[in-house]
This record gives sequence, structure tokens and C-alpha cells, in this order.
Amino acid sequence: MHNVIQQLGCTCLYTQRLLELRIQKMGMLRKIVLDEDEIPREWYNILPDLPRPLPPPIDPETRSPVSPAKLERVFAKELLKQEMSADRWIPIPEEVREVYSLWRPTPLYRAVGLERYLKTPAKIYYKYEGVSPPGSHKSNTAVAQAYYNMKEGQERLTTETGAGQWGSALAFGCMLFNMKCTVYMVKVSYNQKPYRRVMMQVWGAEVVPSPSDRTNAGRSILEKDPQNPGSLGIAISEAVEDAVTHDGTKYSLGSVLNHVLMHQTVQGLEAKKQLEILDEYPDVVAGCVGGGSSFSGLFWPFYHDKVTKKAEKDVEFVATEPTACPTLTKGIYTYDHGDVARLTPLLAMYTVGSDFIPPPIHAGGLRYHGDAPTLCLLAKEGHVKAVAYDQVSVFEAATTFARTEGIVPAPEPSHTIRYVIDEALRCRRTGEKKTILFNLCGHGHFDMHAYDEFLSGKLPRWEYPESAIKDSIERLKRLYPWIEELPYLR
Amino acid sequence: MSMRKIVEKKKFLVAYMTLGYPTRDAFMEYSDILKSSGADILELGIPPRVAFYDGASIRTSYWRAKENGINREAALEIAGNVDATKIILCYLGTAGELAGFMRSVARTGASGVLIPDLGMVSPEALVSYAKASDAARLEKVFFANYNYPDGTIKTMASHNPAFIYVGLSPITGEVAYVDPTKSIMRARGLIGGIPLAAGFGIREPRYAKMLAGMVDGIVVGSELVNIIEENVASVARKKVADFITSLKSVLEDASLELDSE
Ligand SMILES: Cc1ncc(COP(=O)(O)O)c(C=O)c1O
Repeated sequence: MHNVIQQLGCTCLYTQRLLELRIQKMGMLRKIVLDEDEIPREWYNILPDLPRPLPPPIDPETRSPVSPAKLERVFAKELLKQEMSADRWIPIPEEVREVYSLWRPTPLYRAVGLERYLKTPAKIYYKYEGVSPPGSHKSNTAVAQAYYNMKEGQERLTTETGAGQWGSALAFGCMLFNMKCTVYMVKVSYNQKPYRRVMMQVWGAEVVPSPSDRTNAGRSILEKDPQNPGSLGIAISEAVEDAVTHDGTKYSLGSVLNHVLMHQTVQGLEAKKQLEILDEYPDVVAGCVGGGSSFSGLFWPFYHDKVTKKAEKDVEFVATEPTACPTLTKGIYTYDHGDVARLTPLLAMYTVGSDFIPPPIHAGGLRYHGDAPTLCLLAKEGHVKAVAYDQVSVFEAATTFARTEGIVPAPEPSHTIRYVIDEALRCRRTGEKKTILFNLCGHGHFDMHAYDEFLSGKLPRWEYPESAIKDSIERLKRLYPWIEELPYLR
Repeated sequence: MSMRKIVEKKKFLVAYMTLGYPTRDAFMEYSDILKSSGADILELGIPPRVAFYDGASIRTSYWRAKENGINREAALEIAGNVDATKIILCYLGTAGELAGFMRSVARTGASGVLIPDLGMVSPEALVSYAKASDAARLEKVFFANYNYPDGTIKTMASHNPAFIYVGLSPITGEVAYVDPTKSIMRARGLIGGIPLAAGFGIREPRYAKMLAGMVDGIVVGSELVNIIEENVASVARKKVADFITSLKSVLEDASLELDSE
């Protein structure tokens, strides 16, 4: 024990005594680890606690909420039930908890090294989800989705993936429940980032470079443009088509939808317990947003505290995103499609336009044009604040983190690290002793190419032009002039 | 009798029809049939521009009514000729300025206005509705979809409406996907003593019977359109009467069970 204290570099006797007491209580200060039986038994569903009704997904043909029966062709029934449920707590099946125990509960770290380096009075905690076998929070929902599909007798799941985080999580989930998995991987990533592809294949998934000749969607693109590098939008279209045209096959989505975000709440529920052990409560909960699942999974349980007036503090929720895809900071709140091909229902969200084209060199991920409708509603209502950072400052923060905390972070959560560092430095100037919590939702072991580009000074700063957002939304409104008449908040 | 008195006295049946559907004349006949077969309240719809909560059947009825030249004014004129306890259903965008709209509804002799998208729009919209409704001496009624947040449903109840209508599925005519018992119990817990009506996808007396014990009222609509669309006129009239009669008796049985407890 004294070794540990010495490692922490503690010399002051008084602090040493305090630390000893705490360490006696829970073993280690730098990270708080819970027992396996403390894996949450229920997921938290935010729907009943939202400040106003969530605008439902709209079928552009009928201009009404999508009929659940129609979605059954695509998704497992139980997941659709969760998607539409008003139950605040949804039981986690024992089989899923058992799989979770492979890596859950995940550790909560005190960023001792970073705090010292920044000389900040702020206390920084991070929930580390990179300990899951696929290396990110995505496994929390992948495992649950594979489980329910298996229970309903499905044999195979299809999905899309960009760089491969989500694809590898689903490949892992399917492998655990003896299901087949087909991942449509954006062709440029398939060719340029082979290692996640190989990881998926190790877990038994079939990885198809998209656009492919396996679907009508893919073939029609290849006919016109055989060299098409692919995009997430095309890969979604292919994965959905594959699912609806084959028996025993369903599709699986890694973010945005209510049930996906709900599965992620194990993060926040554990983090609350871990902070309780330390007698701490956050002033700020921060996370990065691609579709909104990792951040929501962390902050929802604290939002629940706030709604039920159980929060010890007026906790603030901060979403971080890239300036290259500034959905929450510059996007427009409207109904928009979830994909480029306009195959998905319309979702009420902040969007930079479903025909958004990611910048040519962008290493930071988080390139989805919209965000989860629940998150967007909370942002619209002022419950969530958003900030955007360019990729160079993000990688600077990531490198600082790696050099002070040791863990090489994925580019996505590094947006949050940028925010946390800036906030901690601000606290140094003002003397505020803020408690900051964020989720380090993945490690960056497969992102060395991005780090390499950063270290060799090849990453450009990039801001998505506001005019492109306006143009895209205008195109959308010409296509669906009736969107203006749907009941959602302007 | 005030609508509140009707809904508090016994389990009540609300029958929905689109104003001017299937034709202006047939509509008048159907409203008589609904009333004489046992509907306690008629819910009369004005064809909207965007029928947000309506499934295929009700949308068909809107489309036909529009074909018959029914706009907001024509619809209200027809409503004025219906001799029954009635409420007017109208989407916010079609209602327009609320105070004026409520006054014209009051002139038709209707008891209140149900705006299905009111809860979606903003908490302030609920307040404006309540003010306009009170000013026109109408009784308030609210629609809440089963998955509306606690806060929205509680706010509705705090306005002390004649009843709150809970939609059990995302759109009319579709059977509930999420367990309707849970949805009703949750709403009940949130609204306390305010009368509760359930609807969306009630197509069979058997289903109505399952719900009847838990609710104060039941709303039907899509199934009436289905009957009218699928049958020749004379058969449709008989089937509509039988359907309403059977639902009414389900509710009466449930009321009796309640009394004998
Ligand atoms: C590590 C990591 N974090 C965050 C995200 C963003 O998605 P979300 O906002 O749904 O968590 C991704 C997406 O692929 C990711 O891989």
C-alpha cells in the first residue's frame, strides 16, 4: 500500500493518511473498480423523463410516425419494443450481464497524471470503456442486440461500418451468441485500414467492401462508378437491403436509436456508483458525439438525478464534436433522413444535411450528419451544451493525454479530452475546484495512421462551411415542403 | 349534461368520424347511427394538411372528405347540424389562431376541442389552448401518446380536463406494440382522478373488453372507416351499428362489474 502512495508521489503526511484510509476502503485510488455483481441489472430509458415528447420517426410516404410493423422487417421485435418503451427501467437479461462481465464493470480513473501536468485544482475522472475486447463502448449494445436477435431465432445480423469500431463490436457480439455477422465496410477503409477488418474476421464475421455487387444498392452504384470509394450512407443501404431480402437475417444499428443509447447507460450507472464510493458528484459530465450513444450512456443517469431532484449539484452536460461535422453547434434542428440514400425514416434532429460529404482528410471520426433525436431534443431545450474542435487541437489533446495518463485514446473521445483540458486550465486561472467526468469510450490502438499523420504535421484544420448546411436543408425542404407542418419544436 | 358529468357517470364510448365522410349526407346518417347505437360522445374530425397521428384508414377518410370539398369552415358547418354530445378534433396547423377557432367551435354546440399534436408542440401551447378553451366556455380534452414524458402528461392533468385520451400505439388503426396494460397503468398513475380514455387500434370487442376494466372510456375510429370502405352502404350501416352496440355492451358490463365490487 505504501508503495502505491509513493508511486502517486505523495509526500505530505496528512494527505498520506487520508489516502491510506481511502485505499483501505477500496484498494486503489487511481482507479475505482466495482465487483462483477455490481454490473447494473437494468438499463435506464430517458423517454419518460424528457422535457417534452420525443418527435417520433416519420415515414416520408405517409408523413406520419413509422408503423412498428413496418420496422419489424429490419429490427428484432424486442429491440423495437425497447425503442418505443415508456418504461424507465428495462431489465438486463442475465445472459447479457454474464457477457458484460468479460470486461464490466469498467474502471473509473482519476486522471492524476493529467491533473498534475495541468496544475489544475479541478478533479478529472474518466470512465474507461476501452477495456472491452473490441476496444470501445460499442460492445455494450452489440452484445445486447445480438442476444435479442438470437432469442428470436435469427441466424445472422448485418450492419455497416466506417473505420470498423462498430463492425468489430457487432462481430464480437454475434460470435458470443453463435450468430453469423455480415459487415459492409466502407471500401476506402477496407483497403486502407485492414486491421479492424482482420479483427472482425478473427471473430468469424464476413466483411464485405461496400459498394459491393451483393445488393441492388451496391450494384447500381458500381455500374455508374466502378471506382466508388464508398460511404457510410451506401453501406447502410446495403446492410438494410441484405437484411430485408434474406430470411433469418436482421439489421443492427450502432448508435442514434433509443434502444442503442439505453444499452449504453451501464456506463453512467456504474460511474455514479464509483463516484459515490469517493463521495464525489460531477459538476460537469462530458462526452463526444458521433451519433450520441457513448455520451448519452454516460450522462443519462445523471440527467435522471437532475429530473428527480436527486442530483447533489446543478450538473452540466457537455457534448463535444468536430468542426468538420458540427451537427450540434451549427446544424439545423429539423426532420431529416438518417442516410444518404434517403432509405431511413425521417428523424427530428440537428443535422448538417443527409447529403453531407465528409472532408477528404479527417482523422477524428464522429462524421455522422445527424445525432440521436433524444440528444438533439435535450440540446434544443438547453439541457445539453455543445462545443466543437478542429482535428489538430484534438490530436494535441490526445497526445497530451497519452503522455500523462498512458492510455492512447481513440480520436473520438479525444474531442472531449480537448474540452476537459481547456476547462481544467480555466479552473487553474479561476481557482475553481470543479469535478469533471468524461468517458474515454475507446482506445486508439487501431488509429495509429491518424496519429502518424498528426505527428508528421499532415492534418489540416477544417471547418464545415455553414452555407453547405443551409443548402442541404433547403434541398430537403424543397423535397418535403410539408416538413414545416410537422409538430416539432422550431 | 356537461361532458365531464357524462364521463364520470359510467364507462364511456367515444366514436370518431371525419366530418363530411363518406359523403355529406351519409355522414349525417352515420352520426345518428353512432349515437343511437350507444356512442356517448362523437369525436368529429376536420381534415388536416398533415395527419400526424393518423394511420391509413383515417387518412382515407380525410382524403375522401377533402374530395367532397370539406375545408375547416365546411366541416364546422356540418358539425353544427349534429345533435349529440360532440367534440371537434383538429390539428394545430389546421385550427389556426386558437381563440377564434374555439369560438367558432363553441357556436356548433360542441363541448370541446381535441388537438392531437398539442402536447408535441410546446408547453406554452397547452397554456394557450387552456386559455382559449376556457374563454370560449368549452371543456378541455387532451391527447397524449402512450410514451409522452411524465411531465407532459402531468401538466395536461393539472389543467383539469374533462378527460385525457391516451393513444396506445404510434398511429391510429395500429394495434399497440408496447403492452397496453402498462401504458394505461402508467398514465393512470400520472393523471390521478382525471377520467382516462384509451384508443388507437381498438378493432375488436374482445380487445376492448381487455382494456375496459382499466379505463374510463374507449375511443374507436379506424375500424368504422374500415367497415364503411369494405362494405356496400346498407351492410356498412348495419355493421357500424352492431360494432358500436357490442363495444357499448362491453363497457356496460365493465361498469356493472365495477359497481358490484
Ligand atoms: C470510440 C468511439 N467513440 C465514439 C463514437 C461515436 O459514436 P457515438 O456518439 O454513438 O458514441 C464512435 C463511433 O464510431 C467510436 O468508435
